[in-house]
Amino acid sequence: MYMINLNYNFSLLLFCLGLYVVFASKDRFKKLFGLTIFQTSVLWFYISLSKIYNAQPPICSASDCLNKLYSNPLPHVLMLTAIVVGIATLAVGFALLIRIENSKD
Amino acid sequence: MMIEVYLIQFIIFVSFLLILFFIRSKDRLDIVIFSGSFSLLTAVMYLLLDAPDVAMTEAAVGVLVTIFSIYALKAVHYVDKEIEDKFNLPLFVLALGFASLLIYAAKDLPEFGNEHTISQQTLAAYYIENTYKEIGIDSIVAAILASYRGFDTLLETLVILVGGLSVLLISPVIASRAQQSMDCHVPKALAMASRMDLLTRKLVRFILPVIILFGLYLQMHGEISPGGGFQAGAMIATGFILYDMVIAKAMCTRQFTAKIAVLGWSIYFITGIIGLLLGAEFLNYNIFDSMIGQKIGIITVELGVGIAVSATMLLIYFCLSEDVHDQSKL
Repeated sequence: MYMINLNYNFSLLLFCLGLYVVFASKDRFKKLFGLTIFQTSVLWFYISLSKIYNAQPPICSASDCLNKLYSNPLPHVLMLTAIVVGIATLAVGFALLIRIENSKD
Repeated sequence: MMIEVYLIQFIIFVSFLLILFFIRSKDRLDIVIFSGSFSLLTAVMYLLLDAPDVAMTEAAVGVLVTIFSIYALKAVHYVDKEIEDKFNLPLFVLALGFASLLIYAAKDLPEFGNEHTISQQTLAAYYIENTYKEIGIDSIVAAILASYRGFDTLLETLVILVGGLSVLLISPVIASRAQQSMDCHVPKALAMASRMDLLTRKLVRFILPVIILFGLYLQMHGEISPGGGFQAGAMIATGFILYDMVIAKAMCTRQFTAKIAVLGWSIYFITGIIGLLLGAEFLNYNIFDSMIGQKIGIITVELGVGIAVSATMLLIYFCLSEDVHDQSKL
């Protein structure tokens, strides 16, 4: 059971390790990447939910759509936009980091 | 099926080792290297989980994350000194305890890879069954992204745009850049020589057209194959950044780039408004009572997303790559 759902379990472990880095690290730069891991774990979890064994990527031409098995396209759409939003927010974090660390000296 | 499972387990094992390396790492440059390799592994993982669109996005965005973090390190006076980062045992035990509780709860989740679970039955089945009938394009992901859930994507693009504009507002203003009169100019051939060494420049000249061409391909074939506005935007932005880094400083002002990003988002928004003016709902493309409207709508929307994303990424790059230490005041 634990081996079958390995993907879920690993994403949950990543979730907690990302949180650990955010809380435990003294370095702001490392904290930002802890948040990135935290985000990746959620994406990983949702994409794992959409997987079906022996299915195809959700691209069907013409009349094939009903006959074949496709993986779930909905989590793909939601996570695809979340990745790009993630980098925009990470960049805001970098800009703040630059301002904070340069204002100290 | 079996080899797929083994590959997934292998990637999980390697990522676990990488995460341990990340937790122990004491150097900021190590963290950037970790981030790049983890992003690559994640992209391969998405591909194995039958999500080519997401894998492509992750691959394109992973490059940008590396570039941005290197420039952020450069701007914060990175010197090779160790972070005083002690291993915090109580917090680590707490995190592991939390993880084991979550894993215990994860027993109730739908079984991995099974087609008969509840999450595969309802909405996803509707999309897979009706995309070709109602929208008329091959890629189900593109159909959901731009048509079924167009409103969602509109606001997500707005979030990206606002993120880029926040970086613009947070970053210090450089006097020389602010006084520049032109929006964009490419320096003359003589000025180019000093940027990088010959080998790098020749190599980049060779590879740059391929990157841009692939970005445009992703943009134009988003409806019939994996790809679309987000991936194409990130890819084209990577090409322009490479040009800026290696060959010549193409001096676009930040304001000009921001305007282009807003233009891209406006294309998306105005597409929605046109539907409204012609008597349908906002972002409803069914105004010609055929599939032509859907196709035109999706292509326009993807174009808007592509422009907005690439311009926003370029804007972030311009803001982070300014050489702040040349200026006396911030």
